[in-house]
Amino acid sequence: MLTQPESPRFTAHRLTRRDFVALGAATLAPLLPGCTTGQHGAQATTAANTLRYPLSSPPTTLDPALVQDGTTIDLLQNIFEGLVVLDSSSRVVPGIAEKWTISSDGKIYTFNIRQGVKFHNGRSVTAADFKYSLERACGPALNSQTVFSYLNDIVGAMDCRNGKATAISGIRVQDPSTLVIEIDRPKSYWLDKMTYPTGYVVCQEVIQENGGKIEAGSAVGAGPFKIAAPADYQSNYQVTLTSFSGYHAGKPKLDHIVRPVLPDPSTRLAKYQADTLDIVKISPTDVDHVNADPTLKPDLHLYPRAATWYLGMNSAAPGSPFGDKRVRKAFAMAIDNGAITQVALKNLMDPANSVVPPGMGDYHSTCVPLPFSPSMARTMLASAGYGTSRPFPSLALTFRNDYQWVADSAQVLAHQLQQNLGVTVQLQPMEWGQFLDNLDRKTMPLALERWEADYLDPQDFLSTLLHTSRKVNGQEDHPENNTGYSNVQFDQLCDEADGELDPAKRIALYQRAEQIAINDAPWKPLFFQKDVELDKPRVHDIRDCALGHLPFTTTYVSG
Amino acid sequence: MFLILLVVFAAVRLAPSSPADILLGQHANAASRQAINHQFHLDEPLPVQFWLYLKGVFLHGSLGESYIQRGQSVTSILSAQFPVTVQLAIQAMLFAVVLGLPLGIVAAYYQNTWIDRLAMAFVVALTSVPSFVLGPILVLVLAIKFHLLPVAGWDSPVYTILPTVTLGARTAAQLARFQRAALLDVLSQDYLRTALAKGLTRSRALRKHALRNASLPVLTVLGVNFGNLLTGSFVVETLFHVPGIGYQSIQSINNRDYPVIQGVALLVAAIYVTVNLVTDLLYRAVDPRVRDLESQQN
Repeated sequence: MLTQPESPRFTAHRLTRRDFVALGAATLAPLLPGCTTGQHGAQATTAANTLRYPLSSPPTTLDPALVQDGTTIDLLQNIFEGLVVLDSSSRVVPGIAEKWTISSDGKIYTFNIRQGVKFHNGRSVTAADFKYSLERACGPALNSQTVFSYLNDIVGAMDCRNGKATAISGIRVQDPSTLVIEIDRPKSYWLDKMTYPTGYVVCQEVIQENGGKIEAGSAVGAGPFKIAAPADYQSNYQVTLTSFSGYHAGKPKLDHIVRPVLPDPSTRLAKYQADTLDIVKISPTDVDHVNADPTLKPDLHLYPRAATWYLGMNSAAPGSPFGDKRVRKAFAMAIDNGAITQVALKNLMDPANSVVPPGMGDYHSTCVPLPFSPSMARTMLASAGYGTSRPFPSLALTFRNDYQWVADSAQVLAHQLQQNLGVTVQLQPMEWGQFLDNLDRKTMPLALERWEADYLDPQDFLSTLLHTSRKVNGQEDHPENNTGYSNVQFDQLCDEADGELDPAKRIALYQRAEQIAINDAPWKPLFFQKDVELDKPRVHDIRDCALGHLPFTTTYVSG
Repeated sequence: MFLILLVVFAAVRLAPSSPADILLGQHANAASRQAINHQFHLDEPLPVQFWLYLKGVFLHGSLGESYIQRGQSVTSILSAQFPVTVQLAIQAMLFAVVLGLPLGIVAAYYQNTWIDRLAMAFVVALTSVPSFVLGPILVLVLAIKFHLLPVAGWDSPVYTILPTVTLGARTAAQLARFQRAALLDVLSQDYLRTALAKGLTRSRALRKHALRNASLPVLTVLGVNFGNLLTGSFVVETLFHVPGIGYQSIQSINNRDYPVIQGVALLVAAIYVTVNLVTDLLYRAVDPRVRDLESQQN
C-alpha cells in the first residue's frame, strides 16, 4: 500500500525560473514540428481561389452508377456530367447534349452531342460513350440499385439489368454525335431523371484498365473539375478537386475545391469561425448562436429545397386507426404548421400547405389545405366513434433521432395533438436505419417523415409516394407508398398525368390529384425544408437549384 | 482470437437495421434490400455468414471489403488509418509523460506545500474534465479566440497539438498522481534515510535511488494507458477531424459497415494483447526481482 509519510529531509525549496522553463520545454517538446502527418500534410491547400467546403460524411463511391447518398452526389456532379443538367431555375437544360428532339409519340429522344466535349484525359466524348455508360450502369455485375429507379424507363434497360441481354435495345448510336434513346411510354419527367448520376458519361478505356471499377485513378469524367491525382481522394479525410481546363463550357473560375470530411457539426462551425472553411451547412438549432454573433450573422443564407416534411398517417400498420379518413382528417386539422415552424424551427422553414414543394419546374400547387380548427378536429374524431366511451388508442409518434430540430418538431406536434384533440402520443425517437426499416415494413402508424425529390417533377411526389401499391410478381409496384394510401380516382389522375405530353394539361391533372390527397389526408404536410448555410462574403456566384448547389462552374473566391 | 471474432460478429448483427437500409436511404424497400443483402451474403444463415468470414480471415488473410466505401478492402482502410492513431497515441503518451511525471515528482518533492496543492488541484481538474469538454474549450480559446492553433485537421505537425493535448491530458493527470504516490512511498523507506545520512545530496538520492524504484507502478499505469490511448481516441479523432481508426469506427458503426467494425475490433484486441505483453517485458527489464524470480523458478 502506498503511504504518504512525513519526510522532513525532503522539505520544499524555492522553485527557480530555470525549473519552470525546463518543465515547460519538456512538456511541449513532443508537439514541436518534426513529427510527421504522412500524406495528409500534402492536402493543406490554402491558396487563393480555392473553395473550402466540407462534406458531412465520407463519400461512399466515385462510381456514378452506384452512388445513392446526397453528399456523394454533390461531389460527383462536379467531376462528371450527363446529356442534360439542371440550371439555377431548377429546369432541365442542355449539358453534353447540345440539343434534342422528341418524337411525336413522346417515346424517342434524339440527342445531338456537343462538339469538342472532352474527358479529363483529353479524349473527345461521343454518343458511343453514353451507350457504354448506360449499359455499364445496367450490367448485373455492378449490382446498381439506382438504375431500377432512374434508367428503368429505357426500353431494354431492365432486361440488361436482369442479365437477359448484354445491350440495351432502346439505345442506338446513330453516328458519333447522335444518340437515340427510346423509352417505354411517354413520360414528361424522363429528362429530369437523366440529370441523376446514372446518366453521367464515363470513360470506357480508363475503367477497363482499372478492372471495370471507378476509383480515384479512374474517375475520369467530362465535368468541370477532376481528381488530379489519386492522393487527392482520401475518402475519410479530404477530397481535393482541380479545375479542368478543357471543360466544354470554359475553365471554371475556381482553381481548386477542397472538401474536408467533417461529420461533426460543431467542428464544421468551429472551422468556419476560424476562417478555414468558406461554406458550411449548419443545423437550425445553431441559428440562435449565429444570430448572436455579429460576425456570423451576415453570412447566414437559407436555400429552399424540394423536400416536404410531413406527418405520415399509416393505414396499413397493424391496429392502426388511420384506415378511417375521419381520423386522419381530425389529426390534420388539429395541427398548426405555423406553430411548428415558429417554435421548433425558428421560422427558418416555411409551413407546408401541399404535398409537392415549391421549386418543381413549372408546377405550382393550387390545393386548398384542410383548415387548422381544433373544434372541427374534435368533432371529426367524435364522428369516427371516439370519445369518453371509446377512448382513442395509445399511439407512438416515431421520428429519426439524428437531428435535434426534428425532435423539437415532434415535441410540438405531440403537444398540439394533446391540446387540440385530447390524444396522447408517446414520442419515439429512432435510429435512422431502423426508422427506414420500419417505414418500409409499414409498422409505424404515426411518423414524422421527409421526402426529398429525386428529380424536380410532381410525379416524384404524387405518383411515387401516394399511388396505390400492388404486388406484381411478388414485388410492390409503388414501394415508396409507406402510408398504405389508396384512392382509385387519385390513381387514375396520376396515371393520366404521368403519360400526358401537354405540359398545361399535365399540371392540371396533378393539381387535381394533389387536392384529393390533401382532402384524404394520408399525409399532413408540415413544412418545406430549407438548408441553413453560412457563406463567407468572399465567395461569389454560387449556383443553386431546389436539389442543392449546382456544380461550381461560375463560383469564385475573392481576396 | 476466435472468441473475439465470434462475439464481435454476433454483436454487430444484434444492432437494429442493416447496411442495406443505410445504403438505400429513402429508397429502402424490400426488393432493393434483398439485392443488397444478397450481394453481401447477408441473406445467408448466420452460421454460414460466420463461416465465410472465418474462411476469409484464416484462409485468405482477408478481412473483407467495406459495404459503404465501395471497392475498398478493410485491410487497406485500417492500414491507412492505424498509423495516424498510433502517431496520435504516441504523441499523447509523450505529452502525458513529460507533463505528468515532472508534476508528480515536484508534488512529492514539495509535499504538503502550496506547490503540492497547486499541482494536485491542476491534476484533479484534468482528471475531471472529459475530452469532449476539454477539446471544445481548447478550440474555443486557442483556435477561435486567439487564432494560435488550427481548429481541426491533420495537415501538418501544428494540427496535431490540440488533439494530442486533449487526448493526453487525462493520462498526464493519472501519471502525476501515481508518480507522486509512488515517490512518497519510496521516499519513506529506510534505505533512503541511510543514503541521506551518508551524505548524499537530496537531488542525487532522488535521481539515483528513489525515481528508479518508484517507476515500477508508474510503468504499469503507462502500459495500460497506452492501450487506452490507442483505442480510446474515438471522441478526440471525431472532434479534431483526425483520420484514424477511432474516427473510422464511429463512421462504420453509424453506417452498419460490418466488415470494418469487425476489422477494428480485431485490431483493438490485438493492440491490447500486444501492449500487455510489452508491459510485462518492460516490467522484467526494470525490476531485477522479476528476473530473479523467474530464474529461481527455472
